[in-house]
Amino acid sequence: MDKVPITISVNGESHKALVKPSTTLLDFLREHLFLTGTKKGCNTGECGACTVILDGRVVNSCLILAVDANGSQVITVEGLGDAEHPHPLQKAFVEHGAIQCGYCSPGMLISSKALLDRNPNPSEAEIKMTLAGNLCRCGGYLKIIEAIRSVAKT
Amino acid sequence: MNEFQYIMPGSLEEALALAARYETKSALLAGGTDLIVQMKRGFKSPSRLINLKKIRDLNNIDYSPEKGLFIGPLVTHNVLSEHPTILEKYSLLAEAARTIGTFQIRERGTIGGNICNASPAADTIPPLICLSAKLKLESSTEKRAVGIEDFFEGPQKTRLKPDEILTQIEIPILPPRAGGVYLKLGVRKALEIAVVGVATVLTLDDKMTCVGARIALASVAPTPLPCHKAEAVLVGEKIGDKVIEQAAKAAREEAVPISDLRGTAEYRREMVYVLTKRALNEAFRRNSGIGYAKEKEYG
Amino acid sequence: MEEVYHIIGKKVPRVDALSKAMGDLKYVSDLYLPGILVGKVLRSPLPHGKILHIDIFKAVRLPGVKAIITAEDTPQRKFCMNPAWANNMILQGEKVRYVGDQVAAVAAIDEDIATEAISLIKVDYEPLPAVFDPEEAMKPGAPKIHQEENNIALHSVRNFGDVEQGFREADTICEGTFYSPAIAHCCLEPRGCVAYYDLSGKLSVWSTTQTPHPLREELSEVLGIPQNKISVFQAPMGGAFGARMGMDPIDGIAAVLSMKSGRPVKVVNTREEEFLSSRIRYPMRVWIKSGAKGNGRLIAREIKVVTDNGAYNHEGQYIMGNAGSKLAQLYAVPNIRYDGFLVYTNNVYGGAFRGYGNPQITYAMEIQLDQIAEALHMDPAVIRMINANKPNSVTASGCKIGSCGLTECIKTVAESSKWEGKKRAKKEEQFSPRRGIGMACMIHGGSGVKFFWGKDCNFSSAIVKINTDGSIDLLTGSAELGQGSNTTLAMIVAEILGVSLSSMNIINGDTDTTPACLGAWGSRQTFSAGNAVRYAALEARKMLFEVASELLEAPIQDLQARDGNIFVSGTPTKYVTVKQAAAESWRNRGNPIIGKGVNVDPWSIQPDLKTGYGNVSSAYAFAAQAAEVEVDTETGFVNVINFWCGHDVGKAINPLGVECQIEGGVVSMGLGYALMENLILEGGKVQNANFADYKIPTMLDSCQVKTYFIESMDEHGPFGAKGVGEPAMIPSAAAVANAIYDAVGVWVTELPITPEKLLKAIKEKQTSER
Repeated sequence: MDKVPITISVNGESHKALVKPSTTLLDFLREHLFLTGTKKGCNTGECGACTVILDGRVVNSCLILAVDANGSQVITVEGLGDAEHPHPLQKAFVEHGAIQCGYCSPGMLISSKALLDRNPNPSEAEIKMTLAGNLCRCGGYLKIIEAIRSVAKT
Repeated sequence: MNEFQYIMPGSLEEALALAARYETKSALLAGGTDLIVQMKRGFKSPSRLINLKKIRDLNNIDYSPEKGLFIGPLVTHNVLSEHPTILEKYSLLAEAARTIGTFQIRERGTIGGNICNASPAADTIPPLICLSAKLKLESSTEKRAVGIEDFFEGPQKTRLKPDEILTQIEIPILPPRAGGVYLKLGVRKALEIAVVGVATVLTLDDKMTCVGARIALASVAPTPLPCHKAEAVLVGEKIGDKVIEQAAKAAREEAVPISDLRGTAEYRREMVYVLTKRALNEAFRRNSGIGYAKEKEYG
Repeated sequence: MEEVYHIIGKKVPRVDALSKAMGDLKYVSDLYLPGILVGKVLRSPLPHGKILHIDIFKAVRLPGVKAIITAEDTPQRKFCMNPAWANNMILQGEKVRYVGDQVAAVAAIDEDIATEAISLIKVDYEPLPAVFDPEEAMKPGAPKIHQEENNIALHSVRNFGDVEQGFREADTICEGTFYSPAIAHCCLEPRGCVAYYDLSGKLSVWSTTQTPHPLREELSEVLGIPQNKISVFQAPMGGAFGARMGMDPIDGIAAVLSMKSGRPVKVVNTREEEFLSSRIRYPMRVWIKSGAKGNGRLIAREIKVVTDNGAYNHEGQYIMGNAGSKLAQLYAVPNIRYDGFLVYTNNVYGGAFRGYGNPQITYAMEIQLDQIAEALHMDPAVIRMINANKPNSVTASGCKIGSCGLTECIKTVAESSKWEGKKRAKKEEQFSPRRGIGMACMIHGGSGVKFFWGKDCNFSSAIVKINTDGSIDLLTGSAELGQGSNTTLAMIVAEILGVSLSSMNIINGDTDTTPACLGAWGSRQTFSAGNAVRYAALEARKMLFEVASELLEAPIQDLQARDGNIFVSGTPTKYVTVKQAAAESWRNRGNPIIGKGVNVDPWSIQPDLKTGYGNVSSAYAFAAQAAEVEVDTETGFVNVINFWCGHDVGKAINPLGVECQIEGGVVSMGLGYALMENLILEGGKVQNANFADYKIPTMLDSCQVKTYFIESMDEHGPFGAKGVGEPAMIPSAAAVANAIYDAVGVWVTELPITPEKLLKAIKEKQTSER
């Protein structure tokens, strides 16, 4: 099959590429742009490790075709902050012990950021409802909720 | 995933023209939350994907107090679950949309996709059945409307013709004293396909007599299941514990569940009874159709 | 006098957390080397069959394919954690023995081509009769899975005291059967390996391994390459929980693909492959009988276990030993008998999984203890207080319990959960949902065990180097799985040298540069690697103090190190900095500061191979957990509301890290094990190989968890510390089950306690009461 030209903005930077229609946004980010912060946990939209923000919406990037994201704006964990200026959520996750193996963390951070962008002061119930699609096997979720609430309060 | 041709038509006419050429095995791409997974697992391998998302007309929600509610097939579950009119007037549909999968899935998955994927466990379909939804199906040569009850043939099988696209879901106005609810049972509280789902709408007159009853079930038959016998138990009766009990038992009789990974047929039948009772009680409580019930936990 | 530490006991964020939060840390699947190929494995669709012929004709000609290997391309050496039991190979040549077994592998320029090439390989099998139930597999005439006479991989018996006499003396006896199913690890990161065999004949392997040094040894044996030609780098890991202990076939497969193609190769499991072949928690059917005196003291305990080994040996023999050891260990029951069968079947085979046989046995023991309590009209917390292990005691199996805070654990949990009041609450007056509270305790090795690898083998080693600018390199052979061990070990070094954590560089799990350590398992690293780094830091400090003593003209024994300075105790204004002392040693004495530490764990021994007698761990961890649940009596749905956890950790070096382990163990694993996890196999094939159908708890399923540290200050542990990784989830399922009983009066003895199973039990009880 012929490759298709796409233009996608990722973390504010525009990228042009030729991709097979079957390439997912996740594989495009990881293997074409080498933005490996977004993780592949299941590849079928069930674990949330691949969560990115696509045109303002929190989605599983493994279920989005890169061609379907043509013309779109994507935010990944790499776009949240850096070591000099971490995003308040990144800082809070570190301080509250909300990161153990770290594999779910990029997805959790993205989902958390999108939640706070939508509602700066979510209830615990809303946090749980929004982040239920981000699985964690190490941490038990409680410190993540604590970290989000600490940022929400400020 | 197999390789495929990818097309993104800019208008409905263009999309219909593509669909008309159905000698090429095509699939319609909405949110992709079912289709992409099925393609990755090798259950579907279309040669061509037609992405509908540029067609803005398919993504509207319109309401008028005279004509009713009109939902485009590309409306996502999260939009449905937060839409003020739907929350106010058709809250069971919002409730059902809210139970689907995960937040990420709901941001992307669409009501049209949920209907056309036709899983017997689909959460939005039983509420749509109870709301007497009509589906507008269009091809390049024909426009027709099908009652949602008549749309399903079997698991993942609908009466959508190969050259047709679902273009609108029409839901009539509810009478003033109508209340509905959707209850879903699973093993955990998210990322669940229903073990059993129950939707109901009860319409009462001012004497608390039932003048209309709709009950529909998920996951207990090859297709989403309307329970007309259970409904008949209620119509004309004053709503109370006894008649609710009878209706729940009747629903249990109508259900034809199978045993699978998620539960045995026996358990599912029993849960039809339990959830139908609870749903009818809750619908009765809400009979004005106003007010979004506080978050219901599973069971 | 209580020590005042400057960092030990403080809540410290993980040293690697920021790089994880940035998405910067590179896991195996994030690694790229020039020319790297993607490897894929062809797996058997049959549970049992002879491999007649493998046809790679089409596959090898597919453009983009760079290497295809079958068993013939490998040295065909069998491997296992213990070579004496080795019967697995990285690629099977003769027979396949489970659905998912490795038959061939491909390396290609991208994943799509590799996947297509796999589909083009044609394998002719001769199907053989298969057996899936271990009790069927034990019977004469069952299909033979290996060369041995029968499918019994191990029959292990333990007798301590006189169990018959014990039961005769008992005033109450309870008996029952329990079942624990196949459980998948569900690490968020699928297992993977990057291997590169270069032109000089050196093999470099980046692996999701918990045991880098042992992996190097195993690879050397399986591939026939000298150990010093193999470099293993433990890649940052997205979870492990035992799944990554010992060599995985894909480690060997990636290596051979690289040898054949001459290029680096990356092999990463898909999620489906993770479920199909992830070396599960061993399913166990446990028949248990317990006897107690009228005062509640357990006097006898007997268990018969049939364990499904699956198709190959991995760690089943050790797990049987660990499970059996708990009978005499928990509550120091004086008379015990353990009779365990480990049986081959054509199911996916088992491996190490958090608790290592202990959760399965504890589920049975702790529910039965509640049953005994009920028979004696005794409160479950009280009976546990009566039976709790005491410090400085010896069990019938020869385990020397040194530090032990179990009594405090039970007390703390009972008080904080308001146990008494809740137990007395009138349950009959509740409608649905019904609330209940339950408790369970556990014992586990807190320092690793001397089961493996040889007669006296549980070591860790480390090196501490202090550079001329005062910065520190800590080289430790240990593995950082995400459990926080690097942070804990760095804290130990920082405390001893009186420096900040930020001055430390930690290199772990690199077989080229770090000294040997057995890795992360058995909740051992805090204790074992902790002692090793402690010794290394003490030696480095001694060298520093020798120099400082001269510079300050003060005796060494008067010196102290704090905040980067070395000073005479009581006179902090008269100091030299660590940097000055290190530079002085390097430049003016020609003596770089290098401290070496080895912990050989001299306080434990390998138990007698026949009788099982012996002090297998240097320290033991204890815990009590209480769970509060709400049961919907019409649907059987269980909502876990609260957990109170009292853990004897010896000393919480990093309380934040310990809390994380306990919360994670209870919520992300314990709840799942109790209520929803079950790897369903039919005809040997996994039916629920995805996260929708294999259910682990989501954030919505989480409960509140309160953790309490009981610091019994183990005399051998670094700063008194013992392990907590596995203890976190060992008693959780039993606590939930006992809470459910308190709510609705039924015990579900077969895990998981799904709504359907619980409802059935409730209805059966209602029927029998009528």
